[in-house]
Amino acid sequence: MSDPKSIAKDPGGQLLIAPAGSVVVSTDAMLASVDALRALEAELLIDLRRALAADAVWDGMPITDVAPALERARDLCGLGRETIARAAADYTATERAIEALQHELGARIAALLGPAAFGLLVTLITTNSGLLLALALGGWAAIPDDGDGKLDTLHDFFRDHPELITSPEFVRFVSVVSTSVDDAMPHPFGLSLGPSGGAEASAATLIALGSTVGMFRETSVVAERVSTTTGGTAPLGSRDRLDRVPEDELVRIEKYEAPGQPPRYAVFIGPTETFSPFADHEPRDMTSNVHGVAGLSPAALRAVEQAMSDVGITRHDEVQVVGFSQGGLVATMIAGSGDWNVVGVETFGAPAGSVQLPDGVAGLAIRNTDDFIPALGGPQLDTHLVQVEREAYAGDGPIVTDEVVPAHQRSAYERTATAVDNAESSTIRQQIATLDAFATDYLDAPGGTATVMTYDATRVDGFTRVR
Amino acid sequence: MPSAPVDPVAVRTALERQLALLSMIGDHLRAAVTAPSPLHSADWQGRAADQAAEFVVELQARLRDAENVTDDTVRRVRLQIAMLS
Repeated sequence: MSDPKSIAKDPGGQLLIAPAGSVVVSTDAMLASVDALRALEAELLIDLRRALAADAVWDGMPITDVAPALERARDLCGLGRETIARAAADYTATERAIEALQHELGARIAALLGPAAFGLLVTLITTNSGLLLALALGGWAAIPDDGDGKLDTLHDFFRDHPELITSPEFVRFVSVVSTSVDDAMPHPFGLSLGPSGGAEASAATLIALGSTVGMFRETSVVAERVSTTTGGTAPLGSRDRLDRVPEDELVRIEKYEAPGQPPRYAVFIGPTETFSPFADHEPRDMTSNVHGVAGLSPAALRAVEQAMSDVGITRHDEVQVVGFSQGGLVATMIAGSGDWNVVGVETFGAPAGSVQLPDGVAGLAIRNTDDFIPALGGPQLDTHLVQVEREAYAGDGPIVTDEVVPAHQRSAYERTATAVDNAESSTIRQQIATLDAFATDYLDAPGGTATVMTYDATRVDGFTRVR
Repeated sequence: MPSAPVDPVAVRTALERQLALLSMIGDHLRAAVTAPSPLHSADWQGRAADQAAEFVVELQARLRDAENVTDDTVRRVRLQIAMLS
Protein backbone atom coordinates (compact mmCIF):
# COMPACT_ATOMS: atom_id res chain seq x y z
CA MET A 1 0.00 0.00 0.00
CA SER A 2 2.94 2.32 0.50
CA ASP A 3 3.54 4.73 -2.31
CA PRO A 4 7.28 4.96 -2.97
CA LYS A 5 6.85 8.37 -4.56
CA SER A 6 5.18 9.76 -1.44
CA ILE A 7 8.08 8.49 0.67
CA ALA A 8 10.65 10.11 -1.63
CA LYS A 9 8.85 13.45 -1.48
CA ASP A 10 7.80 13.21 2.14
CA PRO A 11 8.36 16.63 3.75
CA GLY A 12 7.48 15.26 7.19
CA GLY A 13 9.63 15.23 10.31
CA GLN A 14 10.57 12.40 12.62
CA LEU A 15 8.08 10.42 14.68
CA LEU A 16 7.51 11.51 18.27
CA ILE A 17 6.14 8.79 20.51
CA ALA A 18 4.64 8.62 23.98
CA PRO A 19 4.31 4.93 24.91
CA ALA A 20 1.04 3.75 26.45
CA GLY A 21 0.80 4.67 30.12
CA SER A 22 3.47 7.33 29.77
CA VAL A 23 3.51 11.04 29.07
CA VAL A 24 7.22 11.07 28.23
CA VAL A 25 7.76 11.82 24.56
CA SER A 26 10.62 10.25 22.62
CA THR A 27 11.48 10.03 18.97
CA ASP A 28 11.19 6.72 17.18
CA ALA A 29 14.97 6.84 16.72
CA MET A 30 15.47 7.26 20.48
CA LEU A 31 13.14 4.39 21.32
CA ALA A 32 14.76 2.19 18.66
CA SER A 33 18.17 3.07 20.13
CA VAL A 34 16.95 2.14 23.60
CA ASP A 35 15.64 -1.15 22.18
CA ALA A 36 19.02 -1.88 20.57
CA LEU A 37 20.98 -0.96 23.69
CA ARG A 38 18.69 -3.08 25.85
CA ALA A 39 19.16 -6.03 23.48
CA LEU A 40 22.96 -5.62 23.53
CA GLU A 41 22.86 -5.35 27.32
CA ALA A 42 20.92 -8.60 27.52
CA GLU A 43 23.39 -10.34 25.21
CA LEU A 44 26.33 -9.06 27.28
CA LEU A 45 24.63 -10.36 30.42
CA ILE A 46 24.54 -13.82 28.83
CA ASP A 47 28.25 -13.42 28.00
CA LEU A 48 28.91 -12.37 31.57
CA ARG A 49 27.18 -15.47 32.92
CA ARG A 50 29.25 -17.60 30.56
CA ALA A 51 32.45 -15.92 31.79
CA LEU A 52 31.48 -16.52 35.43
CA ALA A 53 30.58 -20.12 34.60
CA ALA A 54 33.98 -20.58 32.90
CA ASP A 55 35.76 -19.22 35.96
CA ALA A 56 33.80 -21.61 38.18
CA VAL A 57 34.76 -24.76 36.23
CA TRP A 58 36.46 -27.17 38.66
CA ASP A 59 40.00 -28.11 37.59
CA GLY A 60 40.01 -25.27 35.03
CA MET A 61 42.27 -22.21 34.96
CA PRO A 62 41.27 -18.87 36.58
CA ILE A 63 39.23 -16.69 34.18
CA THR A 64 39.27 -13.31 35.90
CA ASP A 65 39.73 -10.63 33.21
CA VAL A 66 36.79 -11.33 30.92
CA ALA A 67 33.91 -10.57 33.30
CA PRO A 68 35.13 -7.03 34.25
CA ALA A 69 35.64 -6.16 30.56
CA LEU A 70 32.10 -7.34 29.78
CA GLU A 71 30.77 -5.39 32.78
CA ARG A 72 32.36 -2.19 31.45
CA ALA A 73 30.67 -2.59 28.06
CA ARG A 74 27.37 -3.52 29.66
CA ASP A 75 27.49 -0.55 32.04
CA LEU A 76 27.93 1.80 29.10
CA CYS A 77 24.81 0.36 27.44
CA GLY A 78 22.86 1.07 30.62
CA LEU A 79 24.29 4.56 30.84
CA GLY A 80 23.30 5.21 27.22
CA ARG A 81 19.75 4.07 27.86
CA GLU A 82 19.44 6.24 30.95
CA THR A 83 20.84 9.25 29.10
CA ILE A 84 18.31 8.87 26.30
CA ALA A 85 15.47 8.44 28.80
CA ARG A 86 16.62 11.51 30.72
CA ALA A 87 16.80 13.54 27.50
CA ALA A 88 13.24 12.47 26.63
CA ALA A 89 12.01 13.34 30.13
CA ASP A 90 13.70 16.75 30.01
CA TYR A 91 12.23 17.47 26.59
CA THR A 92 8.76 16.43 27.76
CA ALA A 93 9.02 18.47 30.95
CA THR A 94 10.00 21.57 28.97
CA GLU A 95 7.13 21.05 26.53
CA ARG A 96 4.66 20.50 29.38
CA ALA A 97 5.88 23.61 31.20
CA ILE A 98 5.41 25.72 28.08
CA GLU A 99 1.94 24.27 27.48
CA ALA A 100 0.91 24.78 31.11
CA LEU A 101 2.07 28.39 31.02
CA GLN A 102 0.19 29.05 27.80
CA HIS A 103 -3.00 27.45 29.12
CA GLU A 104 -2.72 29.45 32.32
CA LEU A 105 -2.24 32.65 30.36
CA GLY A 106 -5.08 31.73 28.03
CA ALA A 107 -7.44 31.13 30.92
CA ARG A 108 -6.45 34.37 32.64
CA ILE A 109 -6.84 36.44 29.47
CA ALA A 110 -10.19 34.81 28.75
CA ALA A 111 -11.36 35.42 32.31
CA LEU A 112 -10.21 39.02 32.12
CA LEU A 113 -11.81 39.83 28.78
CA GLY A 114 -14.74 37.46 29.10
CA PRO A 115 -16.98 39.35 31.58
CA ALA A 116 -16.76 42.55 29.55
CA ALA A 117 -17.65 40.73 26.38
CA PHE A 118 -20.35 38.75 28.16
CA GLY A 119 -21.86 41.94 29.63
CA LEU A 120 -22.25 43.31 26.14
CA LEU A 121 -23.72 40.00 24.99
CA VAL A 122 -26.29 39.95 27.82
CA THR A 123 -27.26 43.52 27.07
CA LEU A 124 -27.76 42.63 23.46
CA ILE A 125 -29.78 39.50 24.26
CA THR A 126 -32.07 41.23 26.75
CA THR A 127 -32.50 44.51 24.95
CA ASN A 128 -32.21 43.65 21.34
CA SER A 129 -31.83 40.03 20.34
CA GLY A 130 -32.52 41.04 16.79
CA LEU A 131 -29.40 43.20 16.84
CA LEU A 132 -27.37 40.29 18.27
CA LEU A 133 -28.53 38.03 15.49
CA ALA A 134 -27.74 40.78 13.03
CA LEU A 135 -24.21 41.12 14.44
CA ALA A 136 -23.58 37.36 14.35
CA LEU A 137 -24.83 37.08 10.85
CA GLY A 138 -22.99 40.30 10.02
CA GLY A 139 -19.69 38.65 10.86
CA TRP A 140 -20.55 35.80 8.58
CA ALA A 141 -21.78 38.24 5.95
CA ALA A 142 -18.55 40.24 6.16
CA ILE A 143 -16.76 37.37 4.49
CA PRO A 144 -16.66 38.22 0.78
CA ASP A 145 -18.80 35.92 -1.31
CA ASP A 146 -17.28 35.26 -4.68
CA GLY A 147 -20.30 33.33 -5.81
CA ASP A 148 -19.22 29.93 -4.52
CA GLY A 149 -20.45 30.53 -1.00
CA LYS A 150 -18.85 31.83 2.23
CA LEU A 151 -17.21 28.57 3.19
CA ASP A 152 -15.65 28.41 -0.24
CA THR A 153 -14.26 31.90 0.24
CA LEU A 154 -12.72 30.91 3.57
CA HIS A 155 -11.50 27.72 1.94
CA ASP A 156 -9.81 29.67 -0.84
CA PHE A 157 -8.18 32.12 1.58
CA PHE A 158 -6.61 29.46 3.77
CA ARG A 159 -5.65 27.37 0.76
CA ASP A 160 -3.71 30.36 -0.54
CA HIS A 161 -2.11 30.99 2.88
CA PRO A 162 -1.48 27.51 4.34
CA GLU A 163 1.46 28.76 6.41
CA LEU A 164 -0.98 30.69 8.65
CA ILE A 165 -2.48 27.52 10.06
CA THR A 166 0.22 24.91 9.46
CA SER A 167 2.69 25.03 12.30
CA PRO A 168 3.10 23.48 15.76
CA GLU A 169 2.89 27.01 17.21
CA PHE A 170 -0.55 27.59 15.70
CA VAL A 171 -1.67 24.18 16.94
CA ARG A 172 -0.57 25.11 20.45
CA PHE A 173 -2.52 28.35 20.15
CA VAL A 174 -5.65 26.44 19.09
CA SER A 175 -5.22 24.05 22.00
CA VAL A 176 -5.09 27.00 24.41
CA VAL A 177 -8.16 28.61 22.87
CA SER A 178 -10.11 25.35 22.74
CA THR A 179 -9.69 24.90 26.48
CA SER A 180 -10.25 28.55 27.45
CA VAL A 181 -13.55 29.48 25.80
CA ASP A 182 -15.50 28.45 28.90
CA ASP A 183 -13.29 30.68 31.05
CA ALA A 184 -14.49 33.69 29.09
CA MET A 185 -18.16 32.98 29.73
CA PRO A 186 -19.85 32.85 33.15
CA HIS A 187 -22.70 30.42 33.78
CA PRO A 188 -24.99 29.46 32.07
CA PHE A 189 -22.95 29.68 28.85
CA GLY A 190 -19.63 28.88 30.45
CA LEU A 191 -20.01 25.57 32.22
CA SER A 192 -18.26 25.64 35.58
CA LEU A 193 -16.06 22.56 35.81
CA GLY A 194 -13.32 23.78 38.11
CA PRO A 195 -10.54 26.23 37.32
CA SER A 196 -10.87 25.36 33.64
CA GLY A 197 -13.38 22.91 32.22
CA GLY A 198 -11.10 22.07 29.32
CA ALA A 199 -12.14 21.32 25.77
CA GLU A 200 -15.41 19.64 26.80
CA ALA A 201 -16.67 22.70 28.66
CA SER A 202 -15.44 25.00 25.89
CA ALA A 203 -17.33 22.97 23.29
CA ALA A 204 -20.45 22.97 25.48
CA THR A 205 -20.13 26.74 25.77
CA LEU A 206 -19.82 27.00 21.99
CA ILE A 207 -22.99 24.92 21.59
CA ALA A 208 -24.86 27.13 24.04
CA LEU A 209 -23.76 30.28 22.26
CA GLY A 210 -24.21 28.88 18.77
CA SER A 211 -27.70 27.62 19.50
CA THR A 212 -28.87 31.21 19.99
CA VAL A 213 -28.34 31.75 16.28
CA GLY A 214 -29.29 28.25 15.14
CA MET A 215 -25.83 26.72 15.05
CA PHE A 216 -24.78 23.28 16.35
CA ARG A 217 -28.32 21.93 16.86
CA GLU A 218 -28.40 18.14 17.06
CA THR A 219 -31.00 16.01 15.29
CA SER A 220 -32.11 12.45 14.86
CA VAL A 221 -30.17 10.42 12.32
CA VAL A 222 -30.78 7.30 10.26
CA ALA A 223 -28.03 5.01 8.94
CA GLU A 224 -28.62 2.86 5.87
CA ARG A 225 -26.55 0.10 4.35
CA VAL A 226 -25.07 1.02 0.98
CA SER A 227 -23.26 -2.17 -0.01
CA THR A 228 -22.33 -5.69 1.07
CA THR A 229 -19.50 -7.65 -0.50
CA THR A 230 -17.84 -10.90 0.49
CA GLY A 231 -14.15 -11.65 0.38
CA GLY A 232 -11.21 -9.41 0.96
CA THR A 233 -7.85 -9.35 2.63
CA ALA A 234 -6.77 -8.42 6.14
CA PRO A 235 -5.58 -4.84 6.58
CA LEU A 236 -1.85 -4.79 7.22
CA GLY A 237 -0.25 -1.71 8.69
CA SER A 238 -1.40 1.80 9.49
CA ARG A 239 -1.43 2.96 5.88
CA ASP A 240 -3.61 0.04 4.81
CA ARG A 241 -6.07 0.71 7.63
CA LEU A 242 -6.21 4.44 6.78
CA ASP A 243 -6.84 3.54 3.14
CA ARG A 244 -9.93 1.60 4.24
CA VAL A 245 -11.44 4.60 6.03
CA PRO A 246 -14.20 5.76 3.66
CA GLU A 247 -14.25 9.28 2.29
CA ASP A 248 -17.71 9.39 0.72
CA GLU A 249 -19.57 7.19 3.15
CA LEU A 250 -20.09 7.16 6.90
CA VAL A 251 -18.54 3.86 7.81
CA ARG A 252 -17.07 0.64 6.45
CA ILE A 253 -17.49 -2.44 8.61
CA GLU A 254 -15.45 -5.59 7.95
CA LYS A 255 -16.69 -8.81 9.52
CA TYR A 256 -14.05 -11.49 10.03
CA GLU A 257 -15.12 -15.10 10.57
CA ALA A 258 -13.14 -18.25 11.26
CA PRO A 259 -14.51 -21.74 11.96
CA GLY A 260 -15.25 -22.28 15.63
CA GLN A 261 -14.61 -18.64 16.58
CA PRO A 262 -17.01 -15.79 17.38
CA PRO A 263 -16.96 -13.11 14.67
CA ARG A 264 -14.73 -10.07 14.91
CA TYR A 265 -15.44 -6.66 13.42
CA ALA A 266 -13.26 -3.81 12.18
CA VAL A 267 -15.09 -0.48 11.96
CA PHE A 268 -13.55 2.19 9.70
CA ILE A 269 -15.16 5.61 10.25
CA GLY A 270 -15.01 8.49 7.78
CA PRO A 271 -14.04 12.13 8.39
CA THR A 272 -16.00 15.37 8.49
CA GLU A 273 -17.88 15.96 5.25
CA THR A 274 -19.08 19.55 5.74
CA PHE A 275 -17.76 22.34 7.94
CA SER A 276 -20.94 24.40 8.02
CA PRO A 277 -21.96 25.16 11.63
CA PHE A 278 -25.62 24.78 10.65
CA ALA A 279 -26.89 21.20 10.70
CA ASP A 280 -28.14 19.98 7.35
CA HIS A 281 -28.83 16.45 6.11
CA GLU A 282 -25.20 15.40 6.56
CA PRO A 283 -24.35 14.07 10.05
CA ARG A 284 -20.60 14.20 9.43
CA ASP A 285 -20.57 17.94 10.10
CA MET A 286 -19.35 20.57 12.56
CA THR A 287 -22.36 19.96 14.79
CA SER A 288 -21.20 16.37 15.30
CA ASN A 289 -17.64 17.60 15.87
CA VAL A 290 -18.62 20.13 18.54
CA HIS A 291 -21.06 17.76 20.27
CA GLY A 292 -18.43 15.04 20.18
CA VAL A 293 -15.74 17.21 21.75
CA ALA A 294 -18.31 18.28 24.36
CA GLY A 295 -18.76 14.61 25.29
CA LEU A 296 -22.40 14.60 24.18
CA SER A 297 -24.10 12.34 21.65
CA PRO A 298 -23.30 13.55 18.12
CA ALA A 299 -25.33 12.29 15.19
CA ALA A 300 -22.23 10.79 13.57
CA LEU A 301 -21.66 8.60 16.64
CA ARG A 302 -25.30 7.49 16.80
CA ALA A 303 -25.28 6.70 13.09
CA VAL A 304 -22.15 4.54 13.37
CA GLU A 305 -23.64 2.70 16.34
CA GLN A 306 -26.82 2.12 14.34
CA ALA A 307 -24.71 0.59 11.56
CA MET A 308 -22.84 -1.57 14.08
CA SER A 309 -26.12 -2.85 15.51
CA ASP A 310 -27.51 -3.46 12.01
CA VAL A 311 -24.48 -5.61 11.16
CA GLY A 312 -25.23 -7.65 14.25
CA ILE A 313 -22.36 -6.62 16.49
CA THR A 314 -23.15 -7.41 20.11
CA ARG A 315 -21.52 -5.97 23.20
CA HIS A 316 -19.51 -9.17 23.55
CA ASP A 317 -18.03 -9.27 20.05
CA GLU A 318 -14.45 -8.06 19.71
CA VAL A 319 -14.27 -4.82 17.77
CA GLN A 320 -11.43 -2.75 16.35
CA VAL A 321 -12.24 0.88 15.50
CA VAL A 322 -10.28 3.03 13.07
CA GLY A 323 -11.07 6.61 12.14
CA PHE A 324 -9.72 9.70 10.46
CA SER A 325 -10.48 13.20 11.79
CA GLN A 326 -14.09 13.18 13.04
CA GLY A 327 -14.08 9.45 12.40
CA GLY A 328 -11.24 9.17 14.90
CA LEU A 329 -13.24 11.13 17.45
CA VAL A 330 -16.22 8.83 16.92
CA ALA A 331 -13.98 5.76 17.08
CA THR A 332 -12.52 6.92 20.39
CA MET A 333 -15.99 7.71 21.78
CA ILE A 334 -17.17 4.21 20.84
CA ALA A 335 -14.17 2.72 22.60
CA GLY A 336 -14.66 4.97 25.61
CA SER A 337 -18.39 4.37 25.94
CA GLY A 338 -18.04 0.93 27.48
CA ASP A 339 -21.03 -0.16 25.37
CA TRP A 340 -18.88 -2.18 22.97
CA ASN A 341 -16.05 -4.68 23.41
CA VAL A 342 -13.43 -2.54 21.70
CA VAL A 343 -9.98 -4.11 21.91
CA GLY A 344 -8.10 -2.01 19.37
CA VAL A 345 -8.16 1.64 18.31
CA GLU A 346 -6.27 3.50 15.62
CA THR A 347 -7.01 7.16 14.94
CA PHE A 348 -5.58 9.73 12.55
CA GLY A 349 -5.92 13.45 13.33
CA ALA A 350 -8.74 12.94 15.82
CA PRO A 351 -9.84 15.77 18.16
CA ALA A 352 -10.29 13.19 20.91
CA GLY A 353 -7.83 14.26 23.61
CA SER A 354 -10.53 14.54 26.28
CA VAL A 355 -12.07 11.11 25.71
CA GLN A 356 -11.10 8.65 28.45
CA LEU A 357 -10.64 5.01 27.41
CA PRO A 358 -11.14 1.95 29.61
CA ASP A 359 -8.35 -0.46 30.50
CA GLY A 360 -7.72 -3.21 27.97
CA VAL A 361 -7.87 -0.96 24.92
CA ALA A 362 -4.65 -0.74 22.93
CA GLY A 363 -3.59 0.92 19.71
CA LEU A 364 -2.27 4.11 18.19
CA ALA A 365 -3.45 7.73 18.24
CA ILE A 366 -1.63 9.40 15.34
CA ARG A 367 -1.51 13.17 14.91
CA ASN A 368 0.40 15.66 12.81
CA THR A 369 1.81 18.34 15.11
CA ASP A 370 1.08 21.08 12.57
CA ASP A 371 -2.55 19.96 12.19
CA PHE A 372 -4.77 22.08 14.43
CA ILE A 373 -7.88 19.88 14.13
CA PRO A 374 -6.79 17.41 16.89
CA ALA A 375 -6.01 20.40 19.12
CA LEU A 376 -9.70 21.36 19.00
CA GLY A 377 -10.25 18.39 21.30
CA GLY A 378 -7.83 19.88 23.82
CA PRO A 379 -4.60 18.35 25.10
CA GLN A 380 -4.20 14.57 25.15
CA LEU A 381 -5.34 13.38 28.57
CA ASP A 382 -5.81 9.64 28.05
CA THR A 383 -2.68 7.48 27.95
CA HIS A 384 -4.08 4.05 27.06
CA LEU A 385 -3.03 4.37 23.43
CA VAL A 386 0.48 4.91 22.15
CA GLN A 387 0.56 8.55 21.08
CA VAL A 388 2.39 9.15 17.80
CA GLU A 389 3.06 12.65 16.51
CA ARG A 390 4.90 14.00 13.49
CA GLU A 391 5.20 17.36 11.79
CA ALA A 392 3.68 16.90 8.33
CA TYR A 393 5.57 19.86 6.88
CA ALA A 394 8.85 20.05 8.75
CA GLY A 395 11.64 22.48 8.04
CA ASP A 396 11.51 25.57 5.87
CA GLY A 397 10.29 23.96 2.67
CA PRO A 398 7.17 25.20 0.90
CA ILE A 399 3.81 23.76 1.90
CA VAL A 400 2.75 22.36 -1.43
CA THR A 401 -0.94 21.58 -1.42
CA ASP A 402 -4.15 22.39 -3.23
CA GLU A 403 -6.20 21.86 -0.11
CA VAL A 404 -7.02 23.98 2.91
CA VAL A 405 -5.50 22.86 6.25
CA PRO A 406 -2.77 20.85 4.45
CA ALA A 407 -1.49 19.04 7.55
CA HIS A 408 -4.98 17.61 8.14
CA GLN A 409 -5.45 16.29 4.61
CA ARG A 410 -5.68 12.57 4.04
CA SER A 411 -2.55 12.76 1.89
CA ALA A 412 -0.58 14.20 4.84
CA TYR A 413 -1.80 11.40 7.09
CA GLU A 414 -1.06 8.81 4.41
CA ARG A 415 2.60 9.89 4.55
CA THR A 416 2.58 9.80 8.35
CA ALA A 417 0.94 6.36 8.33
CA THR A 418 3.69 5.15 6.00
CA ALA A 419 6.30 6.56 8.39
CA VAL A 420 4.58 4.70 11.23
CA ASP A 421 4.73 1.48 9.22
CA ASN A 422 8.45 2.08 8.72
CA ALA A 423 9.08 2.81 12.43
CA GLU A 424 11.84 0.77 14.05
CA SER A 425 10.99 1.04 17.75
CA SER A 426 9.34 -1.91 19.44
CA THR A 427 6.82 0.50 21.01
CA ILE A 428 5.23 1.02 17.59
CA ARG A 429 6.08 -2.34 16.05
CA GLN A 430 4.21 -4.19 18.81
CA GLN A 431 1.09 -2.06 18.38
CA ILE A 432 1.12 -2.53 14.60
CA ALA A 433 1.52 -6.28 15.05
CA THR A 434 -1.37 -6.42 17.52
CA LEU A 435 -3.67 -4.37 15.28
CA ASP A 436 -2.71 -6.50 12.25
CA ALA A 437 -3.31 -9.74 14.13
CA PHE A 438 -6.92 -8.75 14.84
CA ALA A 439 -7.81 -9.65 11.24
CA THR A 440 -4.98 -12.00 10.22
CA ASP A 441 -5.68 -14.36 13.13
CA TYR A 442 -8.99 -15.13 11.42
CA LEU A 443 -8.36 -14.61 7.71
CA ASP A 444 -5.11 -16.58 7.66
CA ALA A 445 -6.85 -19.51 9.36
CA PRO A 446 -8.30 -22.30 7.18
CA GLY A 447 -11.86 -21.30 6.23
CA GLY A 448 -11.43 -17.70 7.35
CA THR A 449 -13.69 -15.23 5.50
CA ALA A 450 -14.34 -11.50 5.35
CA THR A 451 -17.56 -9.63 4.62
CA VAL A 452 -17.45 -5.89 3.92
CA MET A 453 -20.44 -3.60 4.51
CA THR A 454 -20.66 0.15 3.98
CA TYR A 455 -23.20 2.58 5.41
CA ASP A 456 -24.23 6.16 4.92
CA ALA A 457 -26.47 8.28 7.14
CA THR A 458 -28.84 11.21 6.98
CA ARG A 459 -30.02 13.66 9.59
CA VAL A 460 -33.82 13.68 9.92
CA ASP A 461 -36.64 15.44 11.86
CA GLY A 462 -36.17 18.91 10.43
CA PHE A 463 -32.78 19.38 12.04
CA THR A 464 -34.26 20.72 15.27
CA ARG A 465 -34.76 17.84 17.68
CA VAL A 466 -32.42 15.34 19.22
CA ARG A 467 -33.82 11.84 19.21
CA MET B 1 53.19 -32.71 52.59
CA PRO B 2 52.65 -34.10 49.11
CA SER B 3 50.23 -32.19 46.77
CA ALA B 4 47.02 -33.86 45.60
CA PRO B 5 47.47 -35.90 42.45
CA VAL B 6 46.30 -34.12 39.23
CA ASP B 7 43.94 -36.00 36.93
CA PRO B 8 44.99 -34.88 33.42
CA VAL B 9 41.75 -36.11 31.90
CA ALA B 10 39.68 -34.05 34.33
CA VAL B 11 41.85 -30.99 33.70
CA ARG B 12 41.53 -31.35 29.91
CA THR B 13 37.76 -31.74 30.22
CA ALA B 14 37.60 -28.63 32.41
CA LEU B 15 39.76 -26.58 30.03
CA GLU B 16 37.70 -27.66 27.04
CA ARG B 17 34.55 -26.66 28.87
CA GLN B 18 36.10 -23.25 29.55
CA LEU B 19 37.20 -22.97 25.92
CA ALA B 20 33.68 -23.67 24.71
CA LEU B 21 32.20 -20.98 26.98
CA LEU B 22 34.86 -18.42 26.05
CA SER B 23 34.50 -19.17 22.35
CA MET B 24 30.79 -18.35 22.51
CA ILE B 25 31.62 -15.05 24.20
CA GLY B 26 34.28 -14.27 21.60
CA ASP B 27 31.95 -15.06 18.69
CA HIS B 28 29.30 -12.76 20.09
CA LEU B 29 31.73 -9.91 20.77
CA ARG B 30 33.21 -10.13 17.27
CA ALA B 31 29.69 -9.81 15.84
CA ALA B 32 28.83 -6.97 18.23
CA VAL B 33 31.94 -4.96 17.30
CA THR B 34 31.13 -5.12 13.58
CA ALA B 35 27.34 -4.75 13.97
CA PRO B 36 25.61 -1.48 13.00
CA SER B 37 25.59 1.14 15.73
CA PRO B 38 22.82 0.58 18.28
CA LEU B 39 22.20 4.32 18.22
CA HIS B 40 19.97 5.42 15.37
CA SER B 41 21.78 8.74 15.31
CA ALA B 42 20.97 9.75 11.73
CA ASP B 43 17.94 11.68 13.00
CA TRP B 44 19.86 13.41 15.79
CA GLN B 45 21.19 16.89 15.42
CA GLY B 46 23.68 19.32 16.96
CA ARG B 47 25.13 18.45 20.34
CA ALA B 48 23.05 15.28 20.60
CA ALA B 49 24.57 13.99 17.36
CA ASP B 50 28.10 14.70 18.67
CA GLN B 51 27.35 12.94 21.95
CA ALA B 52 25.84 10.00 20.09
CA ALA B 53 28.96 9.70 17.93
CA GLU B 54 31.21 9.84 21.02
CA PHE B 55 29.07 7.22 22.72
CA VAL B 56 29.31 4.85 19.76
CA VAL B 57 33.11 5.21 19.66
CA GLU B 58 33.38 4.52 23.40
CA LEU B 59 31.02 1.54 23.20
CA GLN B 60 32.95 0.02 20.32
CA ALA B 61 36.21 0.53 22.26
CA ARG B 62 34.81 -1.29 25.28
CA LEU B 63 33.41 -4.11 23.15
CA ARG B 64 36.75 -4.44 21.36
CA ASP B 65 38.57 -4.45 24.69
CA ALA B 66 36.30 -7.24 25.94
CA GLU B 67 36.88 -9.12 22.69
CA ASN B 68 40.67 -8.76 23.04
CA VAL B 69 40.62 -9.90 26.68
CA THR B 70 38.48 -12.88 25.71
CA ASP B 71 40.74 -13.79 22.78
CA ASP B 72 43.84 -13.58 25.04
CA THR B 73 42.14 -15.87 27.55
CA VAL B 74 41.15 -18.30 24.80
CA ARG B 75 44.81 -18.43 23.67
CA ARG B 76 45.98 -19.15 27.23
CA VAL B 77 43.41 -21.93 27.65
CA ARG B 78 44.42 -23.46 24.31
CA LEU B 79 48.07 -23.32 25.40
CA GLN B 80 47.19 -25.13 28.61
CA ILE B 81 45.37 -27.81 26.64
CA ALA B 82 48.35 -28.16 24.28
CA MET B 83 50.72 -28.54 27.24
CA LEU B 84 48.66 -31.51 28.46
CA SER B 85 49.28 -33.37 25.21
